[in-house]
Amino acid sequence: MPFGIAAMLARGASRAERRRRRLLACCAALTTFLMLGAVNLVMIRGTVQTDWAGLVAEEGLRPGTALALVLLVIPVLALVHQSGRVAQATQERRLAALRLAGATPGDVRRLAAVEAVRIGAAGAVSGGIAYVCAQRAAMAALGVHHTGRYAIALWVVPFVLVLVAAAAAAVSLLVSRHVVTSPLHVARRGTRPRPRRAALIPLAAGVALMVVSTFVPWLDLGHSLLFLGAAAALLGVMTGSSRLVLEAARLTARRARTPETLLAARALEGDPRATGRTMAVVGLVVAFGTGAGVIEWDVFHNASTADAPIGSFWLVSFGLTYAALLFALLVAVTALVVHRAEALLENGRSMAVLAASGVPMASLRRAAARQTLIAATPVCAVAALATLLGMAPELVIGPSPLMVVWTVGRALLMVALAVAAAAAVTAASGRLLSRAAAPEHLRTE
Amino acid sequence: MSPLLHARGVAKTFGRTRALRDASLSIDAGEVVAISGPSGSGKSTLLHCLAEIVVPDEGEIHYGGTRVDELDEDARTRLRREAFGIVFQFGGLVPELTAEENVAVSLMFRGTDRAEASAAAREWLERVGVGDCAALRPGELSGGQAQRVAVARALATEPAVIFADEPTGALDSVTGEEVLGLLLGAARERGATVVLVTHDNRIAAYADREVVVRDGVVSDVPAVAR
Ligand SMILES: Nc1ncnc2c1ncn2[C@@H]1O[C@H](COP(=O)(O)OP(=O)(O)OP(=O)(O)O)[C@@H](O)[C@H]1O
Ligand SMILES: [Mg+2]
Repeated sequence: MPFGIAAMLARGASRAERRRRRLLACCAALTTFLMLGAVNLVMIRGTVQTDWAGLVAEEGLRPGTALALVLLVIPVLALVHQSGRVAQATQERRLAALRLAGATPGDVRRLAAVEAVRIGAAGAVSGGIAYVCAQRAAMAALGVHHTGRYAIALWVVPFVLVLVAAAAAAVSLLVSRHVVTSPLHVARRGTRPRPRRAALIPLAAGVALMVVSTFVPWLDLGHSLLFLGAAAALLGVMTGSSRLVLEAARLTARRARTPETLLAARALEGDPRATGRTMAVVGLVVAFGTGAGVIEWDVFHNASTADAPIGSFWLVSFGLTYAALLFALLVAVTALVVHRAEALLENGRSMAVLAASGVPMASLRRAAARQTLIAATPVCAVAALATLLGMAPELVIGPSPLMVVWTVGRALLMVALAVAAAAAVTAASGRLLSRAAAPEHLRTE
Repeated sequence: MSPLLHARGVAKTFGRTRALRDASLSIDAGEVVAISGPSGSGKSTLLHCLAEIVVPDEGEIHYGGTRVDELDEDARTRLRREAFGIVFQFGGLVPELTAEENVAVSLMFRGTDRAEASAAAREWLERVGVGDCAALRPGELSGGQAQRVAVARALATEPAVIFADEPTGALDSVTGEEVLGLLLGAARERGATVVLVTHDNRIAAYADREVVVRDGVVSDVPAVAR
């Protein structure tokens, strides 16, 4: 079959599919925006002494700021992954129909890539335009628009756009690698692999390194080990979160006493990766928030002993840090909503049957909230603990026990915040649940 | 004796489709009633109305002498939980739970503690002949096995009325009759009432009485005609 015809047939337009495209385009736009920001910062030369825009104006701090912007792409990626699964069932059915009409598996894969490039390019272009405009506006607001020094070199913009579009295609191929489209069947997904225990190795190694580092008599080596350990532990929170979620789900399922908890734990156990990816981001937010708390203490403490006001540099920096963490949390939480919607679409019928057999909606809602709690609590707790461990030297030689209380309290607060945010989403998506459990879904296809 | 379940002049419209126009029906305690009729005639809608899953637009439904269609959602949910058991064409089992847990959960939602519910669930699975599938998930069961689990789930709570919407519709005739035999056997043993939707005459023949729904209107099939 000619590729053009296949492409035309593939352009399905169910509402869910349009929603997925919009989500993916938004992600591409966000990624472009963040990447352009990072590139922009790295390309600026020289230091300007300003009191409060230090993170951007000082030569030595700009790479760190750029890195932070790149890190913010991580939650966006989690959202991309989740969005890719929106409308997967309808998409698979459409692709199976294509195969029946004579398209080869290669054609199908090419179609998916072409679609991803199209969406990615659309998103990247709008992200690029948004960035250039926002940057101009920011420079005007700061009163530096007459010097060309801070403007992004326009020639790098297309490079970033192409990069993002290509990455979109790569991710789409990666996501669809488990999909086997056969002409006879609605596409069958190759069995979803369970997260392995090995995924926890970086976390364990990181924590071990941090512990060891405190016993190393040479200060330099100790610090390097500590830094390495902290980095490994953070990486471990990302790679290991799905496995952590799975373990927590299994443990909870075994000990569940109420039907709500049992439903929640088993649902997580069935698909730990989707929630795990989101929780990885939430865990990172907790880790960075806890770390920021320690630095905050330092700054406040120094200011109070020197009896000087806290520099606006720090205030702005903290503000930006929290804004970034909030952004990451928001994106992660969006991914959670997307996942919830998708899971309900897939399993809505069994919820409708439960409701029909007399299970109150409140119970189903409780089960959904518990699912989030079971996943969020262990990941956040591990992230906070690992961070505290990494900060241990500061805490031990720290000047006052008050600091320990502050930091630990801060860690607890971050965990509570993250878990509450995750649970709030679930509560907010109660409407989705009611809709999924409505009696219309009792009717068989 | 007043009937256990009684519907009078029930009507239900979905958008522009009049699924039920004027359905009246009385069912006595312990009776097995088959509801048959062509596809799209309103059988499922009638069942959903009788089982208090859907609120009719017009008419009345009485259960045990009390009018129930006017109860609020909480009260109707409680009624479904305490008095009714439901089986659908495709089991509607929770995919992540094992067969045993699927049965146990429905008991747990009624206040039984987990250990007791699990034991009872295993017993019921044995009774419907899928005892060795207790640890499998619905995806690993055949259609017939899944349907047996669904039957066990509906029976385990010992409901006064069992509603079944084409419980054997997706099964081959031999398996279908086996599953139906299990359902009706257990129901008759306990004197439970069964309301069974089917468009298979052979299945309808198992019932004490058959009513036919045509274009949303219910008529009794007289015993002589069968
Ligand atoms: N939730 C709904 N929304 C819209 N239309 C509906 C809904 N439920 C039922 N209908 C319509 O009402 C009519 C009766 O449907 P119902 O499911 O009761 O038929 P049925 O006799 O059970 O058919 P079947 O034998 O195919 O299961 C049909 O035309 C159907 O399309
Ligand atoms: Mg029907």
